[in-house]
Amino acid sequence: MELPSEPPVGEGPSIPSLTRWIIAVDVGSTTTKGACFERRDEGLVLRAVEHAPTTVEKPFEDVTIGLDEAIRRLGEVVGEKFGTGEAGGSGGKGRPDVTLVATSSAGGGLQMLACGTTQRFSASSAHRAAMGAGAIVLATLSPDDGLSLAQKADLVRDLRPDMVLMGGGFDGGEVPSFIAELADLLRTARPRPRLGDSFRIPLVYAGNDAGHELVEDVLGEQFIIHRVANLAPGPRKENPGPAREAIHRLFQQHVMSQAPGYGKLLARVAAPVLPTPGAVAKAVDLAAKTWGRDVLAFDIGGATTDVFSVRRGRLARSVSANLGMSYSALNVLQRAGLDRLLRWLPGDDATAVTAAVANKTLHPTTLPETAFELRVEQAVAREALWLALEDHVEMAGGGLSDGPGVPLVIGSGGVLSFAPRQEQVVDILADAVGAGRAVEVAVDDRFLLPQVGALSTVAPGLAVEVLERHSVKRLATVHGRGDKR
Amino acid sequence: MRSGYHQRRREVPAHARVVVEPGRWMGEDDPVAVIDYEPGRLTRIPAATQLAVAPDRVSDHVLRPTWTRMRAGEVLAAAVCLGHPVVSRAPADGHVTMVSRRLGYVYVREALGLVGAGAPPVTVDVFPDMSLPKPVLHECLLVREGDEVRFGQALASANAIRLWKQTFAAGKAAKSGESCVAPVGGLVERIDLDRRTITIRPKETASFIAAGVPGRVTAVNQDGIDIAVHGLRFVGAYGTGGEAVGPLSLNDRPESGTVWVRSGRVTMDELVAARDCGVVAVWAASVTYEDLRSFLGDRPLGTVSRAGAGPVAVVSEGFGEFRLSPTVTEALRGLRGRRTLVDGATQLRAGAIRPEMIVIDEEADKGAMAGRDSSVVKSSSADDWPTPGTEPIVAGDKVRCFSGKNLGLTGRAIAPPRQGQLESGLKTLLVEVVWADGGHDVVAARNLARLAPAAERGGQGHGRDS
Repeated sequence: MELPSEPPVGEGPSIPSLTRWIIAVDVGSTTTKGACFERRDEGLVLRAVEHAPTTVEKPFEDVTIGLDEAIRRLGEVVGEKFGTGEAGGSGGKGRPDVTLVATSSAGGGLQMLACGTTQRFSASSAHRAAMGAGAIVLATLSPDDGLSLAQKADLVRDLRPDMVLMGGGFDGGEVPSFIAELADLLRTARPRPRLGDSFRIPLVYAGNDAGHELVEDVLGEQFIIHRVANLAPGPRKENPGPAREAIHRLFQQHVMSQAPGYGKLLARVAAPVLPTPGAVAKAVDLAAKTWGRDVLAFDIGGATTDVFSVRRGRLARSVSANLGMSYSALNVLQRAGLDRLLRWLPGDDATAVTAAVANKTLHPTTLPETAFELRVEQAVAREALWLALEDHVEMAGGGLSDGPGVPLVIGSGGVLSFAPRQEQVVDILADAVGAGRAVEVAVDDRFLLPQVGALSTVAPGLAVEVLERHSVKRLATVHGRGDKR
Repeated sequence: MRSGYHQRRREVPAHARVVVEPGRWMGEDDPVAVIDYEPGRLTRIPAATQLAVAPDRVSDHVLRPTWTRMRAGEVLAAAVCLGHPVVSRAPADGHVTMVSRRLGYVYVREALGLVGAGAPPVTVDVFPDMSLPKPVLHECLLVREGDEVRFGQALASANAIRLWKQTFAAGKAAKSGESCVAPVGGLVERIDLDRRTITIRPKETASFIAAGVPGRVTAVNQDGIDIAVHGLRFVGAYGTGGEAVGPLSLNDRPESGTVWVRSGRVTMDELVAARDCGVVAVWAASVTYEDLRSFLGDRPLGTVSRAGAGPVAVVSEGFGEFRLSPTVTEALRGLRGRRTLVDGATQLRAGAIRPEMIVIDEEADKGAMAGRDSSVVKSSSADDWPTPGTEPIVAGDKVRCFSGKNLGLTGRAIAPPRQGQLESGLKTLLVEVVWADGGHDVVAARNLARLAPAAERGGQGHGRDS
């Protein structure tokens, strides 16, 4: 998409070390989104925004292929040759007049294994903590789950979890026998990661003190062990917060970084690759500070939906790892229920609706061709945002501002940014926040929020300018609709 | 579809004994690994204390490498203390499974020998340490006479909370969560509350892992055994269940033991009929979400399906009303009766796995056995699954559509892509396509996959011509 000539943004002094061209790319789970800025004497100009499918899957299995395609398209638009491998920062191979900054959420969606003492107690606590962190729980294992060790080992090996949460045992005392059993099970089963054969799966240990020593000892080479406070420190006590936070952090630090080709991407960028949610969080915080108001922001992707809120200066963020528009569309249908989806689609055939949702999951990079397919996608978006905001309130304690003033609600993600009409975006966001509150809605229609966050790490002054002039487009002030939260 | 040698992996449990080596030819039923025993209880040996050594030195004194079988009473670790030999002994038949350098423990996993048909009954004492009255003991039972039990399955559970409802004394006597498990799989023959015993008649247990497909072993490693099988591979869009092998059938009615191909949409009634008559796998062009959902019951239908989760069902195109291409249908008709493997495992997210069907060519296997070309296709099913929108499309390219009413159709781009607007209102690059049946449409370039490179390799036969 070629952009009309726009006034330059930013001032030179804040980016003395930057090159003539700055390319900011967000590698999403479905789409790789690139923005090209040119430094001119008078400042920085946004020259082009181009997208390419993310190439995290077979047969490509290398995110830099999609990255290069997005960069090539940017080059075509601006009349420059940013060919394969040419745009680079610190790697030395790239063009010296091009700086590449990137964010990534490729490989998103979180599948976990939960383990504990008994199905009724700590295993179910682990299950709830993992679910609360937005994960799909593939299996919940405990000594009383009715499976033999060999059966459990087969199951664990089949599942390919992204992460393991192990809880159970009250603090103090010996190593509980079930911790030894679970440690031996995981060591024996050698679960394989979904991404990257050499990847060590993160294991969040939220069990009793003594068990940690054993787990660290026998599983330390095989897993990345991360210890947090006991999930169930005593009878009738449950403390899921630390485990949830650790799951969030490890997901971003370890799981996403396993996307194939991520290492090559790292070698080419001028600044560390930020996880997309982290970059958007920086941008949302920047927006709240810049405009001095409370902000609620949604970033709805193919596999995950991230929600951010700044209330009275406090930033909260959550990742709903299995709510999204393509890979996770079926999960949205299953979690919300068909009836809730159909209320946005009066007169449409239920079988055709479910087929459209399921086929989008099977073929995640496709676009809606017909008006019907678009309606279905937007209905899925409404339910995904509704559920993600529920998760956000529960998991992160954030939400829509309850203070004075009209909060700003920003929507980002393909289904919002590419919506053919702006009224559709206003409707989706108004339905997502729920009835009873006036809000100003805005859209990040060029997908620049991650880039704003990424730019803020190398040129903070420019990030503000890009945010204000190019990223957040304010649409309308409306009353929230739909159900009351 | 792709013809050649395709690699299949047989995963083996850590305690299994692999009995093949690379290069060996295997029949479908030939064993690749033997399971001599089932892992039993885990026992902790305080070896640092017994040997009087520092915990971090225990591993230096362990004499038996992990997974090495040993007999009860055998010395597993030894040291010299004040000039005298000190030892740790195995508490049961088994093997060392873990050594904790921080805690100074050695863990021994008991090895329970597998029994064959005709083995004597096994009697289990139920909570011998607890003085539970007979009615309370009865309350603890989880099985009845005649029940079939698996190895390790709980036979009785002394749940104090539940037993407190009976009498205070019973609750006090019970150890919460304590359970009595079956030491062997079989039938519960007798429950004797006076003697506090449960007698199990052992059932024959499968003790080897079969190759599953005829082929040549290409690699043996800790993750499993790779077997190269020759045949024609078809890749599907979504599957459920694990792996199944049977003769290929395209008949109108399902037949027991076969891989049943439906060239159109498979209905719920057909799925149920197939399951009930013992079809090993169903391969169909499409299914409705509702039918598959009902058929699967409680099983999840999401981005991942896995082995061992019920009947194998695969759709090659997607959800809704679609048909296989006449070319594919004809090809399959010519292969009726051939041994066919279907693997329903699917993972749609990153690290994708697509379901696949391999119609096995055993004649070619014999040819390779005689020394002819036998290079193995290393690609996975996902390699043969084209991703729309990833390659620029130019006029003349053979393409396949992945969206809407045209899903699965193949055709040819007749003009270069141009910027335009879809009926949905989205503005994007559009491509004019003539389908194989002569129909004509304008489609988003993002919804088309270019097949030309794949065609050069032998063609992407999945898909439908009209």
